[in-house]
Amino acid sequence: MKCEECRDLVLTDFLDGELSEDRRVELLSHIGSCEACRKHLENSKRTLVEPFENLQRPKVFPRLWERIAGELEIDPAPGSSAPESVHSGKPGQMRFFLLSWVVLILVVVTTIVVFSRFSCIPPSSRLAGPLVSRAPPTSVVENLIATCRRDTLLEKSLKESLNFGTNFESIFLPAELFPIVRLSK
Amino acid sequence: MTEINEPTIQRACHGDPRAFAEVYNAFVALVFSVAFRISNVREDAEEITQEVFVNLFRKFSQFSFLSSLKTWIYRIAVNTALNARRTNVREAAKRVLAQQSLLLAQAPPQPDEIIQSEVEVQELLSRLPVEQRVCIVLRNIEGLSYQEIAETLQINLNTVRSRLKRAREALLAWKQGGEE
Repeated sequence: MKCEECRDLVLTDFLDGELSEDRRVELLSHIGSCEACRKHLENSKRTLVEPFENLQRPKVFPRLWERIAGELEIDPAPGSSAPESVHSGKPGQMRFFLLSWVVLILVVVTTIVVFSRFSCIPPSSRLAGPLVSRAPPTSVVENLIATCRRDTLLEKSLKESLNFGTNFESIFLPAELFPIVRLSK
Repeated sequence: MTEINEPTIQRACHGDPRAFAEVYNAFVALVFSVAFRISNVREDAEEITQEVFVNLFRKFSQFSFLSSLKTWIYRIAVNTALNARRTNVREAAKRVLAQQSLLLAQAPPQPDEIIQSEVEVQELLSRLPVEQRVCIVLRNIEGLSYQEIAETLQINLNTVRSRLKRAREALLAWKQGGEE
């Protein structure tokens, strides 16, 4: 192999790994015996190959895809899930949401029932027999009255909180709690 | 690079945005790299990449499956970058120095040898006529074989070889001249 042919091959097929095995052996044999071609090979590797070995691909910013999708008028996030919300969330989130509502509704209903039972109890001593028989005092109210009788401070506090200075409330509340109102009539 | 299977390509050909997004994810680094190495300006490379994918989406139905999708995208990227370079070459010459310093300033902390390589490669590429530069980019940076370069540029193998040889001779001469 002549030096000119060797140097041409070094700059092309040899550096790029395109040389056949036979030609490669032939070229290396020549380089082994030719100082000038050996230096040419070393210089070529250092100048033309090594600078590219540490090169990294430039970073692509995500905004580029958004711009492309915008120009094409397509969804920039096709196939990805929609932003998580309560209604489109995972099954666990949905169960927690429903459970919260059920608990809230139960609390509200229980509160309404308790209040209605306390406020709708007819004063047995004031109402006529048939009405008393239809809505007899519950054991809860009886217990409350008994407690008030035992605890004078509680009785006083209860009267103050329920008595607005009229006779009207005595119609709906147990007579035991309003002896004053009853006596004044 | 993620491999794209034929059903995905078929769906992209029919305008499926999800399939097209997969094609984008698989090839954007390649397209941007080629665009950046040919234009040498980041903003230009972004515009070129955008133009490549917009055209790709609109002309995907023209993909004939006779060559590989990768070769076809390389061809579109190189042609788009060359066209942009012709129109932007004067502006690019003004911006290139500022761009180089900006690129290095914005880059995350990197070993010195990587920064040195980046500077050296930009210097080498800037010395070459554009047709030789494209061959060096496709061979040295993208790692394409002579056959793939020939198919991408639609030139014969000997022309690829000839352009690479002349480019490397010029770079060696420039480097030796600088050292002397």
